[in-house]
Amino acid sequence: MRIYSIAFILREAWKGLTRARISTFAAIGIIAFMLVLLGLVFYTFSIVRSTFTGIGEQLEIILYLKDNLRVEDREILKNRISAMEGVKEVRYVSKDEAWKRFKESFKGNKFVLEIMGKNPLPDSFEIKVESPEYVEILANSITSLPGVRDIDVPLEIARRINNLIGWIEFGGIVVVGVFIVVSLFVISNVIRLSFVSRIKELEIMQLVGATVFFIKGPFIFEGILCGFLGGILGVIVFNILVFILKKYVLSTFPLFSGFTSCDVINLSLSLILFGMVVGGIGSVIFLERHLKR
Amino acid sequence: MIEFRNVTKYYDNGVLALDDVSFKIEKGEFVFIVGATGMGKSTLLKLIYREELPTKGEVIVGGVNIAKLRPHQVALLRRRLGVVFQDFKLLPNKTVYENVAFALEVMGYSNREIRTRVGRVLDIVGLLHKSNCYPSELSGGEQQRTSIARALVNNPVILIADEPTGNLDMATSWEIMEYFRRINARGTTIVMATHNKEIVNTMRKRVISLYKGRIVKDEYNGSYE
Repeated sequence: MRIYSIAFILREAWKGLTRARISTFAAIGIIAFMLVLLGLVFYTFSIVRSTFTGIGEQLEIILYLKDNLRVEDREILKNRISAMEGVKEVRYVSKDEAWKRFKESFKGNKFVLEIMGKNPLPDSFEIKVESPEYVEILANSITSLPGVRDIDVPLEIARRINNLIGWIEFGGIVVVGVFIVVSLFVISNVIRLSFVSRIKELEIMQLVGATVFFIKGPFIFEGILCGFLGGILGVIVFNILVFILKKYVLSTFPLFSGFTSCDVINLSLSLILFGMVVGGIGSVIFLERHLKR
Repeated sequence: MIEFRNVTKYYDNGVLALDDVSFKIEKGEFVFIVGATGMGKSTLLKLIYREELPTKGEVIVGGVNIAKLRPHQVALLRRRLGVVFQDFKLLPNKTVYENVAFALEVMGYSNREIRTRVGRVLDIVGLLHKSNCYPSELSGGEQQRTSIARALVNNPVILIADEPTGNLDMATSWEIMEYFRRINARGTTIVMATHNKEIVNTMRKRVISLYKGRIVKDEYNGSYE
């Protein structure tokens, strides 16, 4: 490949783009708009999802140990539970500590403390899960372990949260999927239409004996460049919107403030990449339609 | 140089454009293809530069059967041909110089080579002083001369012209024909479709007449009735 060839393709693509045709600017604008929408839809779902997962992560299984369990057995049990899938953390709470906590929370209430008298509380483990979906499975396998007296499982809440997350994920995949398809359609068509005024150029290139590489190169490159510029513009707008959303909307709801997480940088890069790929696809569709063999 | 062997061409819509056409054109000939509109002139030319493929029969250009060319080879074939049209087919957003240079750019020539060649060919058609004009700033004759310059810039062995004077007045048409005569004198084969009787009858060249897709006459030193 001669250097002039590459130079020609880059130059033609740049000329095509900078010829200040309204269609090019319109195309970039529309691409940016579609990508902002796509980004916001994805962002919204991932925030809602991470909020509920976050709530789910707060759930704890409390495992009460039999009295007079030997320290070694207790350690073995702890290690076994820690090794189970979905267990994030196992914390040992001695009966003394539990009693201290209890007294702490009923500080002002002498009556309750008097009735309780001596410490009636057992030793226990507080088990944190990696995500709420593990709660039920873990509860089942833990109950039957030796040394376990009783367990306290937030089963109903875990089920509801799991259900909710399931629906959110399903809805998210459907809606994001639809948006991806729609933007794919819109962006590739916008690129294709922005080239329609240049069918003549295509015809002349073929006529003077340009090889396929020379004909396609500038168009595909320009389509990708258009997608890239639309992507950059879209991502800038998207990040501004996210900033505003975080600062003025999400922070006012305490529910969201703790757990909201969405990898905005990766999402932004994906949006730009998506713009470029679809821009290229639009060019290829245009060429397939109008390039005679 | 060009040979048609029993060529029949149907278009996809069922229209019969050429019906069992055979002829041979030697190197350096100047041939008029005449006939009324819709008699198959353009189709015949399109088969030479392989815009179309024959339905039946063979079209041989420069020793190769055009039906057997792969896309890359089609491009190479077209580099040995120059094509000129009634509507000039210039790019409106490129200057005269750029329009001609475009043909060389797509072949990957160096900028220096492009400058020399484009300068030389614009000199031949007398448009050096209009290098930086856009097509919209030119007269019809000047636009056609630009497209001739583009057709010639790669030193083609065959020049194909489809009604090149169709949009021009008589005086300008003669001017264009004078350029064609000179190009032909340098050894370039010329195949020109036209229905301009005066030109054909004055030039006294070989004339192939088409009627409803068939060759009804093929004479040297011919005329157009």
